[in-house]
Amino acid sequence: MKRRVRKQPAIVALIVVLMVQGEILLGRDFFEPTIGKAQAGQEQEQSKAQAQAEPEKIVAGPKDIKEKTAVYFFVGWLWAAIGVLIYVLRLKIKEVDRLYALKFFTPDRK
Amino acid sequence: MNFRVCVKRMSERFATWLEERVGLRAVADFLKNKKVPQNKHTIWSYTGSIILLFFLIQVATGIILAFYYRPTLEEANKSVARIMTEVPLGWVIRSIHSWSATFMIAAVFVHLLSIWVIKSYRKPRELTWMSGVLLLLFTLAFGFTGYLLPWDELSLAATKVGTDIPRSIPVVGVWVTKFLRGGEDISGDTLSRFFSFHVTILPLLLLALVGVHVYLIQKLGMSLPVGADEKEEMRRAIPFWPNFVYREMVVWLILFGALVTLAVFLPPSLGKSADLMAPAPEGIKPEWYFLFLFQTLKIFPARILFTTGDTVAILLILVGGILFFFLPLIDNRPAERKGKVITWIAFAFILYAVAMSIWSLLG
Amino acid sequence: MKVRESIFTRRRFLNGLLGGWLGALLASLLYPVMRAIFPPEREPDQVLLSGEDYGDIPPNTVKPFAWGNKPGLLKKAETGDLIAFVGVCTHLDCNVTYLPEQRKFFCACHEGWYDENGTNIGGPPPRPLRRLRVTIEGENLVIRKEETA
Repeated sequence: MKRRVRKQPAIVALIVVLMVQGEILLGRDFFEPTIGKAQAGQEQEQSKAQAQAEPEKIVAGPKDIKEKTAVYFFVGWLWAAIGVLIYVLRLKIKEVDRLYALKFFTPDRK
Repeated sequence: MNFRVCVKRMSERFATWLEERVGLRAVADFLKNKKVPQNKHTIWSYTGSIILLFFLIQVATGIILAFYYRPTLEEANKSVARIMTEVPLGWVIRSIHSWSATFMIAAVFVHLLSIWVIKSYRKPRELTWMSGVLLLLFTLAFGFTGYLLPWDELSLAATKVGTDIPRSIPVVGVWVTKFLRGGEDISGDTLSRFFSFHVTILPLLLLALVGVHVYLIQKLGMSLPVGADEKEEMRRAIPFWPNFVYREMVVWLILFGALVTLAVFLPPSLGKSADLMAPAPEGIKPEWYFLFLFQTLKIFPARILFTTGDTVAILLILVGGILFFFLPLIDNRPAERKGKVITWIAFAFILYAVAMSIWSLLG
Repeated sequence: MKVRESIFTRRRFLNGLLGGWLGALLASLLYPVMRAIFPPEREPDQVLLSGEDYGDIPPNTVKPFAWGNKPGLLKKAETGDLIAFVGVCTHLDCNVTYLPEQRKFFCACHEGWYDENGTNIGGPPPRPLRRLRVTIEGENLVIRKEETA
């Protein structure tokens, strides 16, 4: 029990660092896909041509492979985060249920 | 350790300062003591907050969309196209708004049907039910008014049909149509009007009614199944905060993930700007939540006796709606035969609506 | 080093995880919202003006053109040189006008004055009018951002 105590702050700190790093990396990659090399030039020309033609229907969505990858990444990260949160919430639910059963919050009746 | 204690003391002092002036401790104490029964009906008590979750998402995405949307004949479609192509991630925001509308309306239907079947509308909860029926109408109105705003061919056609239907109501029908359209025909005024409804009038009405609905729920407590033992239920009940809320959060997270996934992979497209003079496009149909009504109207013959089929259909739907609104006063003996019949009507209605919707999609 | 008491309770660790991850999720959702609310405001890289309309303006006159969302002013000096400004007052963003008789630019909002080269000479404006580069390419006048040194 005592040894676990020492590791806990380090784990929390590591998680925080990973989360922050993940936010920055994923955030940048998703919302501003880092331009590649020659591929980017081609894609820009294509999208310009598309924009100039009067479209019958405007289709929404990510335009090139970079954006598509970023989108998949984001959705994957979202579900990972949701998974972690649900795991933590289940632990919390068990905790508060146990505390309630032990009448932890009710004042003692004398 | 010192920092934590400091923060704790400061927040306690702030809480006291606030309490002396605003006095919401009564509300906080009430919420702390609120309990949620654990029985076979408990799963349906998640549906209410689900509706709220999607509504809040609608408000947030709606505000962002309203920053760029222009509600005029000439610019409506263009501004939506701009949102989808020029505004950073505008297509995601619009997609979430569109999908969350579907999720919210679906949640409202599930909530409503569950209350109908488990009969939570019994005394003293009649007003809760009635405010709920009005909330259903407002939610559907949100969907209807929002659908026109992109002003593409499909939405214009759907609105033309939708605003023409009330015309069949005797006496007041023409007025209703004129009120909705801002005149005899659909025009730029219709668009302005629908925008006002969608962004100002309906939100205010909805918020007011949700306030009433939620107040009544808190005041009257959670309902129990017919014939349940109250003492036993109270013993088994869990506190609303934090036990039930944590459970709700799990549900919210899963639904939110599903919403974003669908929004990102299946975003709605935009047709070209509607032309008021052009003939109706083929294969128009309303949004999924109106399909069963649409199909119901279609199956009535053009003339019945001395009046049009439409009028008969509308009147039947109106009568059905009124009975629906007064359901708690009609079903005042839920455990007996009358009550059981009404439960079966609920299932029959679900079957009817689903069948009609599928038929409408195929036909 | 062993400690006699827990620095962290399991409860606080769990609460920290929950709050931390919820915060991370909400922050990641806030980012696209901020991007959508604050779209990038980009000035045009260049603006093409037709030589017919803009090349033959009389000396000591100014002709306006669109520089993105801002007004641009093309001025022909007495010597025949073409010079372009962003016609926005450097004080509080009002649009300026050119007064040919006085050979000065004037901002009506707070009576700011600029001379014929855009230098601020009177009133509240703190800086000269922003210059744009004019080049003649074939039949067109090309207005570009001024090169930064």
